Amino acid sequence: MKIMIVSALWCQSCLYMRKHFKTWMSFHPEIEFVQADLDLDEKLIDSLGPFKVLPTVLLFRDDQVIDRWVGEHSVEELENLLAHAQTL
Amino acid sequence: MRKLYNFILVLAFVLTAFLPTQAQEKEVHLYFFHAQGCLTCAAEEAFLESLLEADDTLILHSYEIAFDQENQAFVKEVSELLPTKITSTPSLVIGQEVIVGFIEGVTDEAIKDQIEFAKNNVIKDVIGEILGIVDVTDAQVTKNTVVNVPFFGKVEAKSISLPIFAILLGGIDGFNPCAMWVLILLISMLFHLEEAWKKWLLGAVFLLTTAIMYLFFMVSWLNITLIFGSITWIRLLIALIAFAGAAFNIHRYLTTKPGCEVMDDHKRKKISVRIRQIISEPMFALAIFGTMVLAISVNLVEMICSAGLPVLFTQVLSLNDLSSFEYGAYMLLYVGFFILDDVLIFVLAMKSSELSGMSSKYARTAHLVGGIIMVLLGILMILKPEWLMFNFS
Repeated sequence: MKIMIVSALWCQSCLYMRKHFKTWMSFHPEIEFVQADLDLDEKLIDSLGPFKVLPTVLLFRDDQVIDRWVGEHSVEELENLLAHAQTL
Repeated sequence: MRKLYNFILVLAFVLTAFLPTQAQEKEVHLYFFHAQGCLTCAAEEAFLESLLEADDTLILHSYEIAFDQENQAFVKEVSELLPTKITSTPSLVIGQEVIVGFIEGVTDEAIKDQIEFAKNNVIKDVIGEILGIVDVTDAQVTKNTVVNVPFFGKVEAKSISLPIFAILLGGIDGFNPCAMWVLILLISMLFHLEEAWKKWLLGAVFLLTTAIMYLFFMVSWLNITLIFGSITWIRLLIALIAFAGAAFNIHRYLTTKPGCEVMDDHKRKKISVRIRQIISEPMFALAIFGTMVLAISVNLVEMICSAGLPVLFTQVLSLNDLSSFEYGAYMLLYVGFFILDDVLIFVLAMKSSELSGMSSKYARTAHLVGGIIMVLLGILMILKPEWLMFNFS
């Protein structure tokens, strides 16, 4: 499984979520995490849009997006969302 | 004969006891200072005349002070003895109370209140004493606006209510994230600069320009409301702006998810490019100029997003009898608290070399609180504008 976190330099919520994401990522060394910037990594994320709310978390399995979460979440919520996505 | 005389005397005494007694109502002197050609003065004069027709205990003394030099000297003399100087027209003096300006639906009620107060209390008629038409008294009774605040003791209500109002509204307005994203982007890019003093200076210039712009907007709007605010339909229009602002804010609270909404791509990229140009500008003076232009252009557009609260605040200011210095001080207080959260974010970021964001739930809550306040102020503006004069009596 691969997880991409799309954020932006100007996004306060993304800055707020940094700590939460760092903690969450530390719980899952088995998962590949990729961070992308909405404005700086346009080519990388162009086909994955549109992005209406940031941060956006995209879950990939076999290079296909299987789930997408937007906005602020606590670490607990991220864990619950991941647990649910893994059953898909 | 004597018995008949005594009988008539007793009868006359008994009969007069049943005659309706007319208590001698207290006279109240009104001192009206006006200027020839002043429309507001004419409106107040018409109102005062209607009061005189309904109440013959009122005595009006009228002084034209724009052209009459004798009256001009007189107003200077009485101003020295009154707690508030008479500096504009129309001004109405009842006792020691100076009522400046005339707003239909607001000032007329204040005048009636003051007349009622004067009738029911022994007040000092300063001008009457100078003219020799009333007896000199040591009475110092004024309208009671003193409140007892725990730990602080007795405090003049008017002196605390407007500052608290300015802080509250400025603080709530400051949470409005309309232009916040530009500040965050600017700070993120400032981290790439090597010299610390340049980072501090450019950020400070952006914040200061934003504050000055906001103050400028509020001063302009205040001047408009001071000139036209006495017109009822202008006050109603502002109330409608309040309701529209409230609807917008409450809608944002209900529909915005906790996160950053991605706005117009083109605008965002344009601003990103401009910030990069500013940061990489070799001539630092030009970089400062560019930052000022950026702050002005961004805030001009984003101000529409938050126009409700500052417009309402300046309208409330215009309803209160304040000096130019006081208007300026309250607006500075408002803007100070408005910019406070931006300053905190900037300072913390510069000190820690790291930007930590605030959860958007605070901004969402500010939308809700701001919306509710706007609804309440809009309703007061229509139904009870005198309550916005912070005259507790």
